[in-house]
Amino acid sequence: MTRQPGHKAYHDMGGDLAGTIMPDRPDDPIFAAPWHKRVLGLTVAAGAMGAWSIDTSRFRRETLPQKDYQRFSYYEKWLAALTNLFVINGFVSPDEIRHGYDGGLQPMRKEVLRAPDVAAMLAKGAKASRQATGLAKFSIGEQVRTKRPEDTLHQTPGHTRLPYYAAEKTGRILFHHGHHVLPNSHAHALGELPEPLYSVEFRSADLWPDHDGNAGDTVIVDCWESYLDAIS
Amino acid sequence: VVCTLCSCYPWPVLGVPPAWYKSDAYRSRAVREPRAVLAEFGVILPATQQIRVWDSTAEIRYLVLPIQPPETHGLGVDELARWVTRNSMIGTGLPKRPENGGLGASL
Repeated sequence: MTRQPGHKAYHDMGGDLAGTIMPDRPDDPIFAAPWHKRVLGLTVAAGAMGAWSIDTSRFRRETLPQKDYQRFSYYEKWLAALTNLFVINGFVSPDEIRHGYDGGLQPMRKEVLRAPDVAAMLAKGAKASRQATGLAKFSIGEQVRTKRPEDTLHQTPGHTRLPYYAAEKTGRILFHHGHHVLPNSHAHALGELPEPLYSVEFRSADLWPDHDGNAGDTVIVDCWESYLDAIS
Repeated sequence: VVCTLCSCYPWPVLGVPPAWYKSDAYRSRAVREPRAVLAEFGVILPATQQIRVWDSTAEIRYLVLPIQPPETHGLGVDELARWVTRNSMIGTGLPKRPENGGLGASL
């Protein structure tokens, strides 16, 4: 993925025209195929090794080649990104993946997620909030302007959680959530750099030129402070 | 509630997200045309009803506190809980009358 100025990344699909949604039915299985469950298990277990963060995993999924991102099913994307993470971290070689052989045992890692601990780990989650390192720049109710996603990157190509549809738009601070780890740096192992996180509320009519619902309809996006500019 | 950038979802509370929540169609359309999306779930809202769409872009997970149906006023906690469905907490459904006095509609 290359982010040119004003370029929307293909994983950033909010607002795209798309087909019909197929709601599930009460009898649908949780996993459509047995291998889906295995990929989920692999991803959770591999994540628990602590070699990369959730932000890095997301970055690896959204930087899969465009044609793969768009044609792969959900768990295929997970498996492809996980495979890349294994290779990047030297846990397996590209040759082992390509030819399906075992290139020798890796030393056992210290951090191993064991089956009896899975439920507790999932229930606990990974906390992204951090001790405040400064004051929040914006207050509840204040009008703010979002930057362009590409102007929030800490490297190129890079990771951001500012969606394109909410770029360069005016919204209002709805909540202040305290300091949170900044995905834009953390995804690239450039530090947690915690900063204030806000819920910013946008009028739908300001986001979508063709909005035809209620004038009070809104979209709320969680934005880190560095995604926002004050309105002077 | 939607996650337009990936598939963030309150797993510890609601379990593995349904396929539609992770689909390109839902991720693309929920923020732009929530009324049309809700209609595909059988929820038709009047134009007078304000809609707020929550895009889960951070590590904060959101659940909807469903609007209480008038006929449930006065019910106890356990009875009320049986009206609450998974979709009513995602925001794509309304509370549903439990069937056969069972555990209630799970979706």
